[in-house]
Amino acid sequence: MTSLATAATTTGVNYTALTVLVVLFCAVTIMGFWATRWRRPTSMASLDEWGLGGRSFGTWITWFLLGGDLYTAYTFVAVPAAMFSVGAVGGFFAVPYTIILYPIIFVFMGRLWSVSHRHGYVTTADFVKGRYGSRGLSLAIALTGFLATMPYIALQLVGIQAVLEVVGLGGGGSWLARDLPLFIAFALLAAYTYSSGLRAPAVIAFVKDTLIYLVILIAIIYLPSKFGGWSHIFSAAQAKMATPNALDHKPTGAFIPPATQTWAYATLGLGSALALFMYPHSVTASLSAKSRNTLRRNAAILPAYSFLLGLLALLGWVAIAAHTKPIGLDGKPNAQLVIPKLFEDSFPSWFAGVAFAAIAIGALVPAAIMSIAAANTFTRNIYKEWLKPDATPAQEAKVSKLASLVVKAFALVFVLSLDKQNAINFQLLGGIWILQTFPAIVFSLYTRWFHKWALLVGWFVGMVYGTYTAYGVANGRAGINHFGGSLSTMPVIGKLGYIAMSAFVINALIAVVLTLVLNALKVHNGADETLKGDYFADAGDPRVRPLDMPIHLEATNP
Amino acid sequence: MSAATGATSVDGAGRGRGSRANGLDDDTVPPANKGLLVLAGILLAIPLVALMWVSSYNRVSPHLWGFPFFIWYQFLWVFLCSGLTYAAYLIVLKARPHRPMTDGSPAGAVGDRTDVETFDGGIDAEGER
Repeated sequence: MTSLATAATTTGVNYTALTVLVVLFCAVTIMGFWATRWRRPTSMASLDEWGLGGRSFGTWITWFLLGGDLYTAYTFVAVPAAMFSVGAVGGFFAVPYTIILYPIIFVFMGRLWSVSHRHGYVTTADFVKGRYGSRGLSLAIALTGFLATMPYIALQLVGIQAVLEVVGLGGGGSWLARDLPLFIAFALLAAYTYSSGLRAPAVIAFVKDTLIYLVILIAIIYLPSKFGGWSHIFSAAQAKMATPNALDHKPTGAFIPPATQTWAYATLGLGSALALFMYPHSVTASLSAKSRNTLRRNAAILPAYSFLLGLLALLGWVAIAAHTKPIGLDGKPNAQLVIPKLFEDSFPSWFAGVAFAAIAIGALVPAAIMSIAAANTFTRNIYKEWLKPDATPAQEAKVSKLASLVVKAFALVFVLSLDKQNAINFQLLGGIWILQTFPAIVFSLYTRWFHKWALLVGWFVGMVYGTYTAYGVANGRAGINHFGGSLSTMPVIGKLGYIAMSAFVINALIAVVLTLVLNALKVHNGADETLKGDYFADAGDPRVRPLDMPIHLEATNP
Repeated sequence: MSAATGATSVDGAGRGRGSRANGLDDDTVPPANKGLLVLAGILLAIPLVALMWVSSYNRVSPHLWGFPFFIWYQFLWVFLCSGLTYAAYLIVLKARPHRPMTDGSPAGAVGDRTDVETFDGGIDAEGER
């Protein structure tokens, strides 16, 4: 508390903040390794234990875990950055997105949990295979999930990088000095994820979420009074967004969505909400819940994080009033630095350190869960399905642990060797791609009417359309000719809209039409291993396949 | 959907692997109060309609504590949506009480499981909605 007077410097290393950051980081590393003893399983040698935490998490652990998983460090950096640079359409849509998300998942995640509980499914591709007996459709779902997750993991590194850059690490010098901190952070993460599996992010999520709540609530109470009150902040944001851009003479951004962009705002929200629980990491965290109702109760209490995200988004506008200059160590403006920079400029160094730790630790939880989810997908739907069908649960767990290392190493190489813009482009594409698995997964939770080949063709066309359309989006201000954004003119409607939604509608229409044709031709639609009652099963109902490995706490938990 | 009770299950005869002595069948949708399910569905749909209807709230006034309408209105929906979802949760619990399942894993059943599934093509879109 003695360093209250320490003014944050804009150059050089901020040692106070760095020390706080390192101490908190070491603390969660210890917790990560300790997690293997937490709710100690009889054995870690199965995917149910290593990859799903024993399917044993109750309402509050699930709340912390899902909150820590879905609201990623990249979100915490990118949403305020978008508010700061382009305003409400690009940034604040995250609020309606994360509100309507919960009624949507309330409807179908209970079913997915139940059928997965009965049949021991670990991934959505497992479910699709069980539902249609179709290896092709299952492989398409698995590959899409894998491809969409990889850049998402890489972007968590971008979140850590933003913090390190503002602290003063990572600029210039040799590649070793620049990238070593990131390298160490990820090596530690890989090590405790390897040993503790999903238990590691579950434990760390408590720290992450507590820090994030603390930091944002303090910032949102303190900063407005420092920068002239909310009225002044909003008028500063309004003025900036109305200012014509020097390049194209159009307004800088949208203070509130104009009438021409209401479709864009709505489809961004809806498309993102439909897509989020198609990602493997969302499914992994959901299936680790111990009962069907754990998830549904969480749909009612997870919006607390959405409220927080909304406040964080507004900090992007606070930064406008505060005249924050997000200049990187390379001397170029980089909007992604706006939140770390705002904290460094406005708070004592030690508190800025806490805020940086919140973001950096915030990157670890989703990165761990994503790598576990991607590894589970690889193991179940590629290794066991195509390479070694007679793999035992212990072999599955072993392959998955190794795969989680490979996935993280790949993400690291991706971020360090390629331009950051590539990761952002792929993440944008990933959001479009992952939504194309929605019909095969969610429609199939309700009905077997759809034909597996129709779903596969719909998925394929959606993928191609989405990728091609995104490729054609240019962003003149950023000097980008391709993948310049997620909005494009929607077919038929003719307004700007989220590309993923256009592709999704095309995908679903094709699935319906082809299903009518294939059903009329009486083409065999595979074998269904699920029963109608499976979709309503709850904890305590017997599993269809007896598990080789006792599930954690199953015997003792009511 | 008519196959809500085990006794009238259309394809129960060919798929009897989940059936049990008391006449219930795991291959049916557990019985539910349809009215309550519809009510829960409406409660869940309200936030979607409200927030997708962007032109109803993309304006600046009236302000609340200095916040433009656009901002505080969406924050308000965080709480409304949470409340509506919880209400729907309570209703759904009442509408479809859990029906315990039988042990669906008798030895040898795995073989049966793969050969009977030629579906009649009807939509069985039952659900929590």
